Amino acid sequence: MSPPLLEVSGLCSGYGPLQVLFDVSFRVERGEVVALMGSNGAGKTTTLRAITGQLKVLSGRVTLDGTDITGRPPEELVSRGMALVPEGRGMLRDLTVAQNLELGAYRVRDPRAVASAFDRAYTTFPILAERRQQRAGTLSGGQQQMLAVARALMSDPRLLLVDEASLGLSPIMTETVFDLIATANRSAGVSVLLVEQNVLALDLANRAYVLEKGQVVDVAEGDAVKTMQGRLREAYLGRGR
Amino acid sequence: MAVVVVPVVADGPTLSILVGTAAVAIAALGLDVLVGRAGQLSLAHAALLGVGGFTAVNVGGRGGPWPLAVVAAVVVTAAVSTVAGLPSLRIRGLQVAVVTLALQVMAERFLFVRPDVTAGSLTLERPALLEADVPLYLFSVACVALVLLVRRRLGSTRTGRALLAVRDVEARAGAFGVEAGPTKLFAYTLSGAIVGLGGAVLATKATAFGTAIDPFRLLQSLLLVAIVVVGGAGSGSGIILASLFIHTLPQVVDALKRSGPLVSAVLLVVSIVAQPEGIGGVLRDIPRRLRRGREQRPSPRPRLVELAAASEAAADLRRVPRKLALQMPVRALLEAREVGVRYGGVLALDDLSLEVRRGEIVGLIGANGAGKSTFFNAVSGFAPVTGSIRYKGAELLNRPPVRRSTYGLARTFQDMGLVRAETVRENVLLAQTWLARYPGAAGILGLGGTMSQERELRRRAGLALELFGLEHLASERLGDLPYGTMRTVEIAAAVASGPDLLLLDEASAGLGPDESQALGERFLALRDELGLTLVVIEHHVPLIARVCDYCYCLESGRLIAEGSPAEVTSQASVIASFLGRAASQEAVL
Repeated sequence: MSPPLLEVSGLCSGYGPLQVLFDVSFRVERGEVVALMGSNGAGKTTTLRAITGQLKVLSGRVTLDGTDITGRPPEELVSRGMALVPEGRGMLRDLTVAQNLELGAYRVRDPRAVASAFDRAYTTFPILAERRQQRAGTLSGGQQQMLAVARALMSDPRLLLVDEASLGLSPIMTETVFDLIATANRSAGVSVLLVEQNVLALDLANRAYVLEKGQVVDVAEGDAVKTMQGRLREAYLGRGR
Repeated sequence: MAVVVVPVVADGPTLSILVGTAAVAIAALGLDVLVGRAGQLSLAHAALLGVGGFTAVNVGGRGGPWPLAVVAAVVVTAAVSTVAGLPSLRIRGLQVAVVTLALQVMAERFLFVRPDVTAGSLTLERPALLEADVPLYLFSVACVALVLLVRRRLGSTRTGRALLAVRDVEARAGAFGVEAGPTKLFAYTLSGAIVGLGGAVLATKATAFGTAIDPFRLLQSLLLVAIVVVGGAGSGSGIILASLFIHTLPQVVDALKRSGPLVSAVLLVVSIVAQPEGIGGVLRDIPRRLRRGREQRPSPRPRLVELAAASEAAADLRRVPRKLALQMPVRALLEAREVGVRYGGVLALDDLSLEVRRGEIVGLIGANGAGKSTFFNAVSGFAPVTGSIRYKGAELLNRPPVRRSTYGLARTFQDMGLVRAETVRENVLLAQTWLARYPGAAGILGLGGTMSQERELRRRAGLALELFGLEHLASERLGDLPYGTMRTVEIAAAVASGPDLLLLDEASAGLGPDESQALGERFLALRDELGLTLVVIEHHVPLIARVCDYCYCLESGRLIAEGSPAEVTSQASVIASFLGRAASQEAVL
């Protein structure tokens, strides 16, 4: 049996002397959409930073396709087929839409591959084709989020990591962005790790983990994901006071 | 300790070098007021040191008493520095640095070559007490201590905090009542006064400079910048250590004397690469590392609070002096009539008219890019507006943002308007800048009512943080907190500034459903207990449905629906452009 595409085991990490993650383990199999749910401050963004080499790993292991990638620098991870959609979109506001997309393909050497990546992006996100010469800073929040996803897909990754895609988006735009991610998963076969606190993310997840205070406290797979969605809704309602 | 031991073990020449180091450290500490606190780079600080030194010799050498020479050096250098700061009102960053470079070169070429400026024939009369090496050394150390004290005081005044806002979020500083221009100039004045003191120390040591103007040349200016970088911008103790490292060490260690500049240069490069935040960064980390393991980090989330008690206490926040009284008769607290905003070729707001009645929570919803934030920018003075926006019956257009905050308008920004590098408490104090009106110098000296005003601001900050369940995070660096918590801090800061009308942009972004529900409870408390009027831009429909009295929906800069939340969210146009499938799902939540 082949190893999972991404496997995180016993991950501990934090900022300087502050430990934020305690023994976090989860995995993403090929072709899956996995949701990592957690509320504000649960350690979601920290987990992504630790996986992508932006934060020191205190202990634990991260493997991509069986290869140990613990603490490897982000640029190497891109070459190995990982792409990140950062929190807050990380847009280069003064560059055009097309220039932002081009940056996403920075590590792709073959010009034909770049051209087909552009084709793919413009077909999947027609609004970006319309606005390719527009400065990214003038796009609306939803369009910027689409651009961030499209840019991450430019390197034709095997694994897409998405940090709170729904942040600051209207309900309809949240759906649109989730739909596009689901499309990329189905048609391009890219595996996805969605880091979210919006329970709607569970609509497209094959498997889901709940993070609380830096620890995984709940796991669900297949049909159980729906039950987890209900559970999370209830939990939120019960404690909200 | 070390300061007292040094004169016992060190010989005369070493003490003399240390007095020189003290002068350099003072100049660097003065430069850092600009670099670390105001974010302005100056390459003319060696020239300013010269201005101070020559002023002291000129005054002291022409029969003026020594204390007068010192005061004159401080005052004249402060004045020159203020004038040098004038260009910074129009230009920024590297351009300012280039202007100061020109000033440095001008001073070197034209000023410091004139015998009447350098006063080659004059000798400063220093007091008999300072003739001996040890007292002179102690005097220089006392001056360094004085400068450290002034810098410390600056940090706890409204001006010191305003400078942080100018440094990090200049374009938005007006929203806190910070006037960027005068604030920047004050930094130049204070920086000049400090460097002038350094010049006076140098003059007291040398008594005459003649043609020896080496300490005032461009290279020395660059060295001062290096000291600030190695020491760590903003860190007083780091900068003093860096002065010893860069200025004293090469003069007292024999090995360094011989190999000279090369070794120093290599050390400089190594130290910067190894510790980009400078010595100050290392010093800051020590207590954190010592604490490690012993102390649990407080939960970075807002705590649940006894809302009734907290909001009763917080009702006090509304008691602020207000220049603008409600002018009767007034239709609504805020009336926007035919408001248009155009950015380049894009019409961001198109003929928008809406009203916000006193004591209501009004929701502003709509697709991303519909013009909601633009409307906030128009109301708070950050956008070019046509039409009319009346607040309490008074026309707001053409009033600067600072004025609007004194009228009782406060807002948050979608992507944070606060200073991430500072603590939560500092940021909440910063938002209240308009409430404390004392001048910067009075604040540093602690004159008049400044201390009690500061105490009052701290008390208010405490009330606001308590209301939002954030008091356990008061000493945390804002940027270290999770996004949702940062946004909550921004709301707390806006409430602390004592507004009548609160504009909240994407209030619940980054918060989970449970936290956004708790936030909704606080909104109701703000309305019912504090009597605030709120306009909230929000994507979270359950929150809107729960708290809003009235609701407007925008699309492409135009109003497409208004009414109660239930009416608005059931309209087909709103479902099509904003809600989508969630119309049925999320409403249940």
